[in-house]
Parts: sequence; C-alpha cells; structure tokens
Amino acid sequence: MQDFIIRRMLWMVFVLLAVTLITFFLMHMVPGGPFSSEKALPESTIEQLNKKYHLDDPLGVQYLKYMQDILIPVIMTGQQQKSLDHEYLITIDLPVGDNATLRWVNFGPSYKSISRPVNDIFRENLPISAQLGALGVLVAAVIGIPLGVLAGAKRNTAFDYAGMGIAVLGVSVPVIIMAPLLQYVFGVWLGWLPVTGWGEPKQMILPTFALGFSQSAVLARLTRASMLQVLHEDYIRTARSKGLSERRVVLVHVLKNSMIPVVTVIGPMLAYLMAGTFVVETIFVIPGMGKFFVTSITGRDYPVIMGTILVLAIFLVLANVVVDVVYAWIDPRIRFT
Amino acid sequence: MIRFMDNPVQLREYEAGNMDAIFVPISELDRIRADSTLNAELSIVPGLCSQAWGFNTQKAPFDNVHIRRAFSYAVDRQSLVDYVTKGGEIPARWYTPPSISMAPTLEDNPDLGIEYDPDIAQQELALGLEELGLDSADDLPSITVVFGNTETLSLTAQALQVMWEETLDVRVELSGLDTTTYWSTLEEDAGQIFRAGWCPDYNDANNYLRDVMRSDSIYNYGRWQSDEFDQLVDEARLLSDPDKRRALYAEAEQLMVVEEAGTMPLYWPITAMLTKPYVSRTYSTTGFEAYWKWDITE
Repeated sequence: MQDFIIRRMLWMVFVLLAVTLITFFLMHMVPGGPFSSEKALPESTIEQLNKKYHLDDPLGVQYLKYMQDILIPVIMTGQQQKSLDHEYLITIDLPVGDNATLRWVNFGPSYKSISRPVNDIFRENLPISAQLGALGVLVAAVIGIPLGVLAGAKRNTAFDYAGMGIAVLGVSVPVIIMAPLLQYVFGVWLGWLPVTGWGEPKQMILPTFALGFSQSAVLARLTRASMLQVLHEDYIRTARSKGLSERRVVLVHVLKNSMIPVVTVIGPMLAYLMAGTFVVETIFVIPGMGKFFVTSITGRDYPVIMGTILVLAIFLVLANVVVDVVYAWIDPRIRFT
Repeated sequence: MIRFMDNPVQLREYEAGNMDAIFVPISELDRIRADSTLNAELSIVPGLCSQAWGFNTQKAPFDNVHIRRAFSYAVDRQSLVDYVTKGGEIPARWYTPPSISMAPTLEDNPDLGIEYDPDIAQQELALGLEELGLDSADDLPSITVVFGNTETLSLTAQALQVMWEETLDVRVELSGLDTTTYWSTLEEDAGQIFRAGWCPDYNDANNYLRDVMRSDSIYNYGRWQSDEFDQLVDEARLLSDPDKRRALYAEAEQLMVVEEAGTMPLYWPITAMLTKPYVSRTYSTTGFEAYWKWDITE
C-alpha cells in the first residue's frame, strides 16, 4: 500500500502541473484584465501596473516565474526586504551566513487587495473554509447515510417515503434559499442562534446544517439505491438463512458492501466543500475562501485565481487518494495495482 | 463596531436586533415600507451618482442627433423607477445629480432637462430618418445595447427595449456581457448604446460635466463632441461666482442632454437606510458618515 500511495503522490504532482498550465493560459485568454474598470485608467497608469506585476512579459515567461516562486526555495542574505512582494509561506532562519533566511512558496500578490497577498488568504481564510467544509460533510454523512439505510432496509414503508421525501426536499431546495430561511427562523424569529459569524460553537450550527442538509440528500438517495442493490445479492440470502437477525444482516453485511458508491461521492464532496462554498459563506458572513473563487474570476485577479484553483486541485487529488485507500478497506477484493 | 456584510444579510441581523444601523437592499424596500415598525425607521437619502446610458456617436445611426433625441425622449423614466428599479430613485432630467454642488436643482430649474414625450420622440425619429435618407424605422441599421450583466442593468435594458419598441417601433438587440469584459470594451469599442453611469470623484459639477463629458475626456466613451459645450464647461471651471457657475452648468446640461442628446440620463440612485430608534445619528450627503457624531440614547 505504501507503494500505491507514493505512486499516487507522484501522479498528483503531474496532475497539478497540468492544472496550473491549463488554468494559466485559459485565464489569460479571457477578455478584460485586472485593471479594467468602468472608470478607465489612464494609459500610463496601466503601463506602470503591468510593469510592476510583470504582466507585459510573454505568457510563457510569466508562467515560469509563477512556478519558480512556488517551487524553488530562495536564500536571502543581508538586509532583507519586508515588503508584501517578498512574502513567503515558509521562512526558516539559517544559522550560517549574514542574516540568512531560507524562504519558500510565494503564491503571489492579489491585484485587487493590495495589502493581502495570496499567502495571507491561505493562512487566514483557508482553515476556516476547511473547518466549515469538513463539518458540513460530517453533518451530511450523519444525516444522510442513516436516512438512506433506513429507507433502503424498510423499503416501501413509511420510513422509506418519509426519508426520501426529506431527501427530495434537500436536493430541490438550493442552499441559497435554505440558508436565509434557517437564518430567519432560528436567528430572527426564535432568536435561538446567532445570525452570522464564525468562531463560537453556537455560530457554527446553522451554517454547517445548511450546508450539510443539501449534501445529505444526495448521500441518502445514493445509500438507499446502493443498499437495495446489495440486498438482492446471494450472500445476503445466505446470511439470512444462517439465522442472523435482520439488524445484523443490514448493519454488518449490507452496509459495508453498499458503501463504495457513497465513499466515491464523499471524497470529491469533501474536497469541494473544504475549498470553500461561496453562498453559505456570504450569507452567514464566514471569512472563508469561497468568495475568492468568484471575485477573483470576475476581477481577473490572476494570482488569486491560480491559487484558489491549485488549492481545489490539491484537495481533490488528495481526496481521491484517500477514497482509493478506503475502497481497499471496505472491499478486500480490491487490490492496489 | 463596524461590520462588513452583504446587504440582505445586514437586514436579517438588523431584524434580529444585532445591528443598529444598516444599508437596505433595494429589493427589500417594498416589504420594509409595508411593515409599520420598519417603515418608521427607514430613511431615504439622495445619492451622488447618476445612472445614464450613452450613445456611441461614431456608430450609425447614433451619429445623427435626431435619432439620439428620439431614443432619449422615448424613455419613460418615471415608469422605469416605479416599476423596474422600484427603489424610490429620482427620474433624471439631466446628467449631474442635484445633490452635487453647483449642479442645477429641481426647485430652481423646473423646466430644465429632458422628460418622456412620445410625440417629440416620434417627430425626431421622422426627422432623423429623413436626414439619413431612410423610409422607415425598419431601414435603420441593427442596434445593439451593450451592458454588464447584473440584475438591475439587465432589467433596465429590457425595459428600454420595450419602451423603444412601443414608441418608436424599433426593436434593439440586447447584449449583456460579463461585467469585466464589458468594461474592457468601453474605451476602444463602446456599443451603439452602452451603460455609462458615473459617481463623483469630488463634490462639484465640474467632475460630471467637464472631466467626463468634455470632447477630449477618456471617460467620454461615446465620443460626443461639441465646441459650445466645451466652452461652457471650460468657462465654468475658472469662475468663482457660484451663481454664474450654476447658470453655466444648467446651460451645459440643457445642451448636452436635450438639444444634442450626447448622453441619456435615466435616474439618480438613492441610499436607503434603517436606523434603530435609540441611535441618534447624522446623515451624510457625501457618502462618508461622520460616525464620531453618533450616539446611543435611551
């Protein structure tokens, strides 16, 4: 299994390189630039800005500079600049040399938020989004999977109809309606929970529930469908004929075997949610990374676009690796080839 | 404490009692006015910006002044504000909002500026067609209205499309672009009709009239030229007597908006705010609130 993981990590590097290449050239192909505004800037100002951010270099050179800033560590000695342009994620003081530091990983500045380079976005906003996302998926799994199991095990009974009814509700009512509704009911009318913010456990309840409920519907339906399929398998009939209780049959034998499609979906779901959800974060005023995905594209903020896409890609690839490992645990027949 | 959040979310926090003074999203104004408690706490303040749509005078048929005037007269600005934007905005008769210093005001100049008049619109269209040597409105080249794709602008563009079809029998095409893409087209290649609002850099009509609409301004995306207008605004810029300046700017507005239809102002936006009754506050006319003068009273 170690071999498998190492091989997948190497693939990840290759995938990420491809992602950065494609994203970089795609984003420069879109008309408009970071300095397009309704009130046009004078030519000379735009020229100066382009020079400062190296936007007048040929695209290939810009791409290589970007990758160099991320991948290649730099040793700085002597009097060092403390400006935001030289802001790195990893700074290690070296014992040798004249005030030497090793610096590594600079994702670039933000053209729109000048005092906030992309590194700051990762340091401050990403952990919050990751928290929200992880909790959201947890809520989705805790609500969705049991609901699906119940609906599948007790097919065509009240449990099934109720469970699937709730699932259809969750899938049809988008988060952008569910979230304000929850805000009004629990925050304004009943006043039980705070309306916005993030940090205290009380503030975390509504956003994670709003996020989790929409996703739980997907998991519930998937679990139910998968369970129904497994219930017809021969080995389940064998288990029943051995005299096992229905509960044991369902919870021990059926459940584990029906988890493969569910795990397949949870992996990417976790990655997407951890990278930031725009709607929930805006409505509940959570300082996460979601808004940067949207505002960077409309504002043509190239380093932020690259940074956010890279984060999403890394999460997705990692999630897929974990899902593959979990497959082998669920179904021992799957070998790591 | 100052918090930054989207307008609809501000309203929910206000209703929950967690915020004391907020800006109100225009879409919620109907509901707020209907609620007696909230209505008492609502205040509407005229803004400083101008919502206008421009004509590209370098593209046919808007190189012809009569066609421009026809289109401008055919817009029912009061209906636009009442039924489309619904925010209590003020229908604009000229370009510079009256809240800007030195701009003409509605009280002093009740007859200044442009107003909806379908008869004049149709007359001007006929004159324009005659000058261009065309028989009917169907012979006009195809006209595209270009704008950045936000909800308000999209609704406004559709309303304009309907108005022009009803009054002038001309059907324009709408082209809603991604906002940043739209902005990047403005300088070089503005559409035949394009959205060209303005918010002030400083509180003087000079900003609106000379900085933006003078023939050589880079913000004059429609490239409307008028020596007489340039002279008026140049002169007004150098004078110090406020009455003389106001008179000159009023004349300039009449020339630009009515006689030449160099731009087509639609309305002057407002700012709607809700304030809890226990807050004693000032209302800024410049957009910068003097927070240090506010207080909580019992």
